[in-house]
Amino acid sequence: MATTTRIRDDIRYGYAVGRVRVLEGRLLSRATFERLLDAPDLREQKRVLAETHVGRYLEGAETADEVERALEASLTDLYDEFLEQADLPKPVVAFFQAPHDYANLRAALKARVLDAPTSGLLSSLGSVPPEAYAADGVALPEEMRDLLTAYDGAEEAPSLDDLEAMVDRALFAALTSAASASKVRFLRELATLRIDLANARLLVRSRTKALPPAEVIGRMLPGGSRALTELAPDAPRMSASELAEALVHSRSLGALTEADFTDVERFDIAADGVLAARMRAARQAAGGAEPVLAYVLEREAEVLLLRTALVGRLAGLDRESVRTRLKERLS
Amino acid sequence: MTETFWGLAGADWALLGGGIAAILSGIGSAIGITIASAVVSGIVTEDSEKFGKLLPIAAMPGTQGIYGFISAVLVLIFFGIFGGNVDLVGVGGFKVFLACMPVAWLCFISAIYQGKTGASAAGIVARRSEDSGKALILPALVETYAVLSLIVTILMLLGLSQAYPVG
Repeated sequence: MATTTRIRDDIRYGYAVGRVRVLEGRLLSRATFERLLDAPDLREQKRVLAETHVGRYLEGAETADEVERALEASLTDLYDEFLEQADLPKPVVAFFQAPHDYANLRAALKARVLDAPTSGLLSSLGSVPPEAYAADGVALPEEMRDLLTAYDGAEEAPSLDDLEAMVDRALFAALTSAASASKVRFLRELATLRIDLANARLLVRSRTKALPPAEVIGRMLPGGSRALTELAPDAPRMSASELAEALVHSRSLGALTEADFTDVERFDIAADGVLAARMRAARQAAGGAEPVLAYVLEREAEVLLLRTALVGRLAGLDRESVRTRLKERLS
Repeated sequence: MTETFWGLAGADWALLGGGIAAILSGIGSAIGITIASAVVSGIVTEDSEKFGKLLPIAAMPGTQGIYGFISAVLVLIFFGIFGGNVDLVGVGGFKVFLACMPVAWLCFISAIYQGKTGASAAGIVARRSEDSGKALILPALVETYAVLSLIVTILMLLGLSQAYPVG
């Protein structure tokens, strides 16, 4: 049975794997990012990128907004031309689009609670068009509409932290559901890994922010490692070293060391490293869904790095700050 | 001589063996070619210049189907089925059936795995066209065992053709 599944996956994903084998050779190299950092302005950065796959998107971009839109367009094309044309199963495509849908929902919900406009905040990368978030979200899927209107008529406005937690919980539920429906083991493992990382981050944050245990327990995401959930009641009261030791002993995130759990900033970098290592391993798989999905995730990560390099400089960050952020993520 | 073995006449067993050899190796080849071709198609979509270097990789699992076909034809020739002189005893026919099994099963399995190896090897060509020679060697290694199974089947059939001569 397992052999039959593997043969079926080899055939189903074979075409996409072939494309990935060529396309991954066109991913931006570390040397390109080094040159981007050394470039004095956006014009020079665009020149560096002119011969790459993102060059055509950035041709007319001059401002931070235009760069954002150009990078978004490159991701839209990735989804349209790659994910759709590769004829990947719908739950697999949904796994990639869900984060964008829920990022839009987060923005729309915050705007609704703060009574602010959503113009320019919503991206078109998700499966739900930005217009659907207008009014009372009548065009949204039911579960998203319920979240959007959850605080309508509430006597007291919710905290932004509560909003974030609510959307995160819904996002991870959607990711877990898509991963499960896809029947792709890699996606199921990735969803669990992301939940574990999010839960571990919450535990580290709960200590530094001295959050009430009840709040930490309430915000732990379901679907992850039980060992992490069991730490929730005690984490806010632990010292940094006690918590780090407990997290390492939980063995949920085996690749991380005690030093990685000392503060949120350090944890975020280490978490990026864990995900990147998983992507690298997936890219090296000979066939099946893994190389394809790892490529899409790697392109998303590349856009994130480009945003830091291009928009960061346009937003006034000095070269060294951008270099530090980029090096942390590239390492 | 119409002596049967497990209810089948010798010619029936021989035809069953040759038929299974042709069918299983053919199925294996079809699956193997599909696996390798899917990846090759993807590579060619992005870089059409590599088609020539990738074609042998996609075609290689097809040889197992040919080996099965050869075995089936040899059964038809050696035991007089072509000439219409089918008087093989039941136990002799069963031995012919057994002689066809190495090529049938090994070609069925090796063709699928050769397709998988070819799909991986195509990735080498996708990255470095100049390594296409090296990429061809890897799936060719899998071929060895299909060839060995063909040799074993032919030797068995030759021996049986002397033990049970036609006419």
